Amino acid sequence: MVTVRIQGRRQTGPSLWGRLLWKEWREDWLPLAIGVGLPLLSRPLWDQYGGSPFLSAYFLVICLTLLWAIYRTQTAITGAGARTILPVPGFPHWLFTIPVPIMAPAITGVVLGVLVGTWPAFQEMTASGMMPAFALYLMAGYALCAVAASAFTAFPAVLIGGGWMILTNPFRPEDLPQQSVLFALVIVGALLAQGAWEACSARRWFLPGRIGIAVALAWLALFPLGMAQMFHRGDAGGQWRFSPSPLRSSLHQASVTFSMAGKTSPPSSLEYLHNMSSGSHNVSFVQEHQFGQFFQPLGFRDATHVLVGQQQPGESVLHIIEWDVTADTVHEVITFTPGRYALYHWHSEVSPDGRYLLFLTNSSPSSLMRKIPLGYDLWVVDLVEPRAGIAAVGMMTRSFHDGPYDPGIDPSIAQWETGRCYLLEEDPIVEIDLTTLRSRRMDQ
Amino acid sequence: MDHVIETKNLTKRFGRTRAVDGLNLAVPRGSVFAFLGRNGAGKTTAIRMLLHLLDKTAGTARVLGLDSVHDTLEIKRRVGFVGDGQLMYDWMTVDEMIWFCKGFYQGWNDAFAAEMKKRLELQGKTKVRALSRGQQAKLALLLAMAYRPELLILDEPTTGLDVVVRRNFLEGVIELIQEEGRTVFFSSHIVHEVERVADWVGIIDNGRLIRCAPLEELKAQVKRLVLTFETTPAGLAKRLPGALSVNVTGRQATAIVSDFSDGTPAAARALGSSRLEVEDLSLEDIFVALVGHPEEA
Repeated sequence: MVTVRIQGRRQTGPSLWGRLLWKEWREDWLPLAIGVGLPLLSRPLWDQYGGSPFLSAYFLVICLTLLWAIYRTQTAITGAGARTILPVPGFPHWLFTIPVPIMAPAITGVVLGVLVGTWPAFQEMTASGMMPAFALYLMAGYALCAVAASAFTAFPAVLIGGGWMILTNPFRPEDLPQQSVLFALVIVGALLAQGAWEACSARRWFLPGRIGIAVALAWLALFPLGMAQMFHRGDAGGQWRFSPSPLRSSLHQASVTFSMAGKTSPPSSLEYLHNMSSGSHNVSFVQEHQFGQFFQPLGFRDATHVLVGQQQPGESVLHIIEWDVTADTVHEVITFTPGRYALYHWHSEVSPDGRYLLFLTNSSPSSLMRKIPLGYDLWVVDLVEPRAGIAAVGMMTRSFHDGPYDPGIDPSIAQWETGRCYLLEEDPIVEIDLTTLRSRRMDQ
Repeated sequence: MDHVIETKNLTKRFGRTRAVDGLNLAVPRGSVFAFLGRNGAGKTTAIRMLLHLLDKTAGTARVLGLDSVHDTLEIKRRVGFVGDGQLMYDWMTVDEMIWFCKGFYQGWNDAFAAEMKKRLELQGKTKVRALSRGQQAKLALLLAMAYRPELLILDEPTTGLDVVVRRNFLEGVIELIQEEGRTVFFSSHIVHEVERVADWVGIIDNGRLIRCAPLEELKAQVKRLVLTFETTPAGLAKRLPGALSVNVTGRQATAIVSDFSDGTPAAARALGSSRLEVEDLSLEDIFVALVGHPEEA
């Protein structure tokens, strides 16, 4: 509370700023509560009915942020009708158009960043890294949408804000921290653009103001388009993007884990650990091998032979390497080109006889220009002949929607029989002919 | 004479349409100025340009001696405005709305606002969205007057209100504002209600100001003449000076003239009239005669 003397009269009460903040709180608390509550509310539903719970909540929060930005901007302190008659100076007007209201999506983003790690698929993400990333991402979307809604109307604001948010981050929360600088730049740019728009509006320079903002937005469009192009080029290079997952097997009583030279170094070697119980004694065998970079253990061919996938940046071929842990030697079993597009290792499995390697990969979702179907590609590798073939594309495998296969013990999606392999969790069941390396759905 | 509003050749074009066409207006300080015109005559457009809510195409406008474009913030601080269908934060209560708006004006008078709230029978705890149209207009009026503006601009403030509310509203406004000799500038197309409260009248038609004068002067100038002739008169409309309309029935003619003066009876006699009756007109009759199209007025 402040007391001031104006024109000889005492005026008691919060200042103009206090009133504007009060109004802001009264208008923002509900969308803020919804934004924070959405991930929590949607989770049990999606857990019950299947689907991708976190990405659903994430999508809902993005939609809410964009819609709120538009609504909030168009009903701002100098919105339509009599509100325009309020004598609000330029600075407070600017301040309460974006910088103050943007706190709601910022808080929502922080909460989302805290929650993301509680979903199994995103356990490796740390809250400290994701909180600012989510906050900046939502703030950038809000700011862009608000500027567009100020200078134009709701429809272009939806197109601009929604398009930008989807193009820059096609539902890959794990990539958000890398884009934080871009988001921060967009926020600053939007604040400057809003300031320029306020100045233009005050002088009734609507047309020049709109042209200026349209030009700025056109430049901004280069970012997502450029990123899409960059992803596309990266995809075309065929680089396999590894998500380092350790491997464990109860059958062979062994595990393979990554080891790093330093805490912040990328993994450079694999460590094999074999545990064998003999009476009351536990016998351990440990072997370590340097693989350099960009490798991923794919499975145990038997207790002492580990299959490793490796692909260096820029390479279009994938190397399947067999590591004999007893002799600590490696040899290349097969190299093949998994596709023109970037691949994510999602799941791999070796047949019990050690002859076939099955692995599911996911095409990069980053590029809008990619031409292969959505979903997962199923590769089958005959390690004896050796040969490799893509058995199926575009598999919308329900079992893997929640993210990379949990690096648990004995991950298995396949039922192996002589000359045949069945993916029983598919609906309909998928049959793989191991002779031709082709698959068919069992309803066909 | 000191003028609170002055426009010179104020023009607003929307594409090829001239909504306001070279408006030259001068509103004397302390007057209750009625800005009259038919629907679409350009009243609201002109007012919005005065407050810089709308960009002008050409000309100048000064309000309280301030430039309407460059000093818009100061004008908004010193001018009260009530528009047609005024939008407010409908989630606020009446008291919250009053409290919120208070922060924007240095001259806000709490006692006056409280008195107005009581006088206008507004319930403080009622949400704005729950108010009737008439009550919303009253609240808008309270918000526009509580900081004691030097000039109150009302743009069709009574549109949509019933007759009783309309009359109470207008009389209440005038009574309140005139107590301190402030200026009221209000637009309306409901002419007969304006006559009771206005002392100055400006009439706009097709974006042009066709008459601007004190009400009494206007009523003294625009008269209805009933002329009696020996024979049926011909070409009277062209021959009678200042005739706005002429209606001939047999030997009798009824004419409305726009500039009645002491010389008018002599002019009538010169046209052959043997008898002349001069009748006063209501403001509504004057308005209809000036802007034409009586069936639409």
